[in-house]
Amino acid sequence: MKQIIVHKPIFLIGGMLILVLTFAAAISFIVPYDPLHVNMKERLLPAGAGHILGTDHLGRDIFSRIIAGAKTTVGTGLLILGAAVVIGVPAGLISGYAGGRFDRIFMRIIDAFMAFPDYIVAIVLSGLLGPGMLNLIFAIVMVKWVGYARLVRGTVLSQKQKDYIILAKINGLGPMRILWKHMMPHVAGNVLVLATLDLGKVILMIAALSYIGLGAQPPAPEWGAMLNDGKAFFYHKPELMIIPGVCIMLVVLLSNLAGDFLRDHYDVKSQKGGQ
Amino acid sequence: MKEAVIAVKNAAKTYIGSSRAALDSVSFTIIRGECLGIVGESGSGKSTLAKCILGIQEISDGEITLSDKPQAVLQNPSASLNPKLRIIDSLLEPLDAQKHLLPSFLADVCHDRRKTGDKLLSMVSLPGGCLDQYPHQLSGGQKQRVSIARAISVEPRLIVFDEPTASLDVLVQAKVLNLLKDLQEKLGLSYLFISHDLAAVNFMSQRIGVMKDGQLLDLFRREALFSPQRHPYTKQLIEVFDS
Repeated sequence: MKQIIVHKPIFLIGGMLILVLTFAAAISFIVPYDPLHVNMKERLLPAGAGHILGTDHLGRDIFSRIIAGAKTTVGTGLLILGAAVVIGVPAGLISGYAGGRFDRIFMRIIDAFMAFPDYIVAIVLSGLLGPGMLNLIFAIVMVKWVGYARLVRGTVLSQKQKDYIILAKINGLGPMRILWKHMMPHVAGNVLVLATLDLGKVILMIAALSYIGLGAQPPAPEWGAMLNDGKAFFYHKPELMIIPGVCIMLVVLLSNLAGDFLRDHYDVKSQKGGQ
Repeated sequence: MKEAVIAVKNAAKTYIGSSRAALDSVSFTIIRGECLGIVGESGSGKSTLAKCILGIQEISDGEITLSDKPQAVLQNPSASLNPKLRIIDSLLEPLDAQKHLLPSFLADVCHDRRKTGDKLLSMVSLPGGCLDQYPHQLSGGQKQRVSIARAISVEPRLIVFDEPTASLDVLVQAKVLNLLKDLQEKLGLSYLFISHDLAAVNFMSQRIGVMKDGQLLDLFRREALFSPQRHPYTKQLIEVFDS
């Protein structure tokens, strides 16, 4: 099993995706209440039999909103990572393999992206484009794809002078086939590790931007937005902020642990494997 | 007269930014079934010659005529195989890239990747179990055998060996050289065998060329190695090996 996971990162990605998808599909069955249903008679109820985690200032069931928020926050996070990988990996592959002037210009563009802190770029972009989940996704993808392009380019540069690439060229393999057959296996592990470590950061970013009102718009359930909703009631009902806060923390922690685990695995293999 | 598999005529190569020629009007031919050994010290242009023949480098002057695309076995067995690919995928790369080829010795197994791989590995005395392994699970000698199996897999007219035994220990070197000789006789292959090891070249080749500073100083049949007409530099090399 260990062998399968280490050698076939696709299984792990697949596993994670299937988990999230089943989770999202199960939501409609788990959620006891409509997460958007306002009931002013039942506002700010404590946790109890009817509402497992109580209700918020508009009488909405917090448990339902947390579950629905998971779909928004984690689902959007995965979507952003997917988009960043889809843009960054081919960009890095081509830039590294083509080399020359194209590569130099491309790298300066990436340097320009990286010169600004992630949050500043994302806030400016989503501020310019207007608040909303779609613009938030676009803004974070713009920030995140450069990391993948850089990582992939570095891997390609370290491999493209190796003898096996030369031999593949002698055998008449075109650039696309060399990139696909020889480079992708090198790149896949590193990208998977970076993506797993990034998932936590992206989720934090979504939550943070939603908290300041640039991401999910009310009444949509989203953990960062829920923090924002709860802050007016912090003194007499701190659960409103604690519950989504703990959720964010747990997911970020989990994805960081998963990332560390994967990184250790790949490091061990690279030590054993020589190069 | 048998047909020539490669004819090199006045080949010259100067690397950009370098004042010295890496290859200086080198000429030779290799006929079918022959092994030509090229011996020379480091920096004598041996590897440049290999690269030009393989088409990795362009020659700046002269002419190289090949009757067929050559295959190659290079010095470092670890770098010759992609560490992230299973042996079978590296091994069958030339065949996968040229699907129309049907080497005579693979005729009975050609429609099955696994059987083809088994057969190729058995030709270089490796167990078929290696097919699913990764390069880091094999020893240097085994990896070099995989490279050799890969080179012969398309039944090429010419195989270029660039220091194929330089990074192997002495016992494995001997085994690999014997294997190469057997394969050459069995399949009627032509070799260009490049090495700094005069003994290995002498063992492998029918004809020997001596290179120094990009020039092919001396070219003679193996039996004539100790003839008094040899170039002074060749005699010098022989002395080094005798002592």
